[in-house]
Amino acid sequence: MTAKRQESQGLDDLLRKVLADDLPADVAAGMRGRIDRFRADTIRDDKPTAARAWFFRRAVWAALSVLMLVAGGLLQGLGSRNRLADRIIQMKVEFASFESTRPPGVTPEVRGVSPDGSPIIRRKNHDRDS
Amino acid sequence: MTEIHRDPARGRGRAFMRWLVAAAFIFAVVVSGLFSGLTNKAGLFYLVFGSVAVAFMGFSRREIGAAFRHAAGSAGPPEDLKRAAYFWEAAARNAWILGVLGSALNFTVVLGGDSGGIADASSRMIQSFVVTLYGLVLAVVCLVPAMKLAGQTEMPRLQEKPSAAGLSGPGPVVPMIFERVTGYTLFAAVLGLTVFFLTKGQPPGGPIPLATVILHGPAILVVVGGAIALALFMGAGAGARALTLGFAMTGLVALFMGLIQAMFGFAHTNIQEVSAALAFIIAACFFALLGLVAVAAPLEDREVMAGRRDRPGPLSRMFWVVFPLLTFFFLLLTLIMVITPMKQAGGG
Repeated sequence: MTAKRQESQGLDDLLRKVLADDLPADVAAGMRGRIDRFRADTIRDDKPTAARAWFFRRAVWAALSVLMLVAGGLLQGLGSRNRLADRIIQMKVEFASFESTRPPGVTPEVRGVSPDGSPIIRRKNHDRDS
Repeated sequence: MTEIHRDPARGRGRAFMRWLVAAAFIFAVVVSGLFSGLTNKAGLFYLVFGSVAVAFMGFSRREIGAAFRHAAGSAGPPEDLKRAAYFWEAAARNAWILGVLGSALNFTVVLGGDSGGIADASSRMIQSFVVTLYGLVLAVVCLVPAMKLAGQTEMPRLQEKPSAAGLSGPGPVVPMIFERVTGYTLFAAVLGLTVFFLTKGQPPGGPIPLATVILHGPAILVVVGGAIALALFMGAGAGARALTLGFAMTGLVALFMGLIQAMFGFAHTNIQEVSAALAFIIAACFFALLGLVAVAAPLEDREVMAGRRDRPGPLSRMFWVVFPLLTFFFLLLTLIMVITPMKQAGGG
């Protein structure tokens, strides 16, 4: 218990002793409620530390979020290397070379296997359908 | 408080019969092998357990239990039925978002992994869309009890602050720490296991290369930064709705940014620009949906269940439906752009 709270307790006790017979019950209850609320507010005010207050400061988050947004946009715009993009390039080149090496008029039936092993039959025959 | 009275034994019996017929039908369809091409076991695992995990993020055990009891035909006061209906509506929403998120994840894993040729890569990419179909089916299944329960009661709008977690009457605020920790841990485990199942049959690439594929820096920065900025701009009064709007709007902006960049890439016949844009689209979809389903939606659920709000915001509801749908179309567009042959010119 802090010295401040001890002092408050002492003051409360003194008030109770002095005004014991004078206060009606409803007034005493009202006072008790107000004192409790005041105490709760005081205790709550003491709680947040400086670091916590800094962490929850809106300006910090606002600056951080805008910085993130700008950095993301810049990184994307400046064409930073990414493994997913590299794989897409590789795949597009594979598809392009497949198209260029395919003899004209050939309609390949591609039999693929799904991840769980079930067969999938797909026909890639735009020419025949049209 | 008015209670909706029914014969509990009869109601439960009828509900049981309905579920039995539905289960028998699904079992017959699966056994028939009619849709064997639509089987994605990893996707099914992800969706079922992912939905359970996300439910724990936003609801307490007591609320989940009550929602199941009411769906099975148990009677209760209108407030309880309305909350149970909201739980099922949220479960439908989660299934839908998780379905599209699963497709994006599967798509990323296929693109990022070492493929066994064009045929294999193509079939795996198309297979990734099956998860969305599962999500849609599960959403419809969850909407049935939601609509049934919502129809049973005409509950007046909550004028006063209701109980925090108890489904009826005033009660103390139920601590959700256990549910939240369980939910997030389970969700992380489900994501990890799904990636493991998807990459099981592929040539070994190791977990680090896959992480570098999924963790696309610019997309993360844009989605997270934009969501926080929008949420701050809307202020504390908007509550969790601000985050829903933030993730959805930033995701939309990122999708269109990527699309425009891809179109410029096609115009300049620059394969690198197109690929960078496609990678950005896929990653932005993934992280915006992840933010929606794992951060914004559970917070908004909590606000509704704790009585701080009567219902989720209309804009939130719209984005929960529209954004995953748009994402699905963008993934389709990405698939088309990936398989569209392009000669390397300009930058490539």
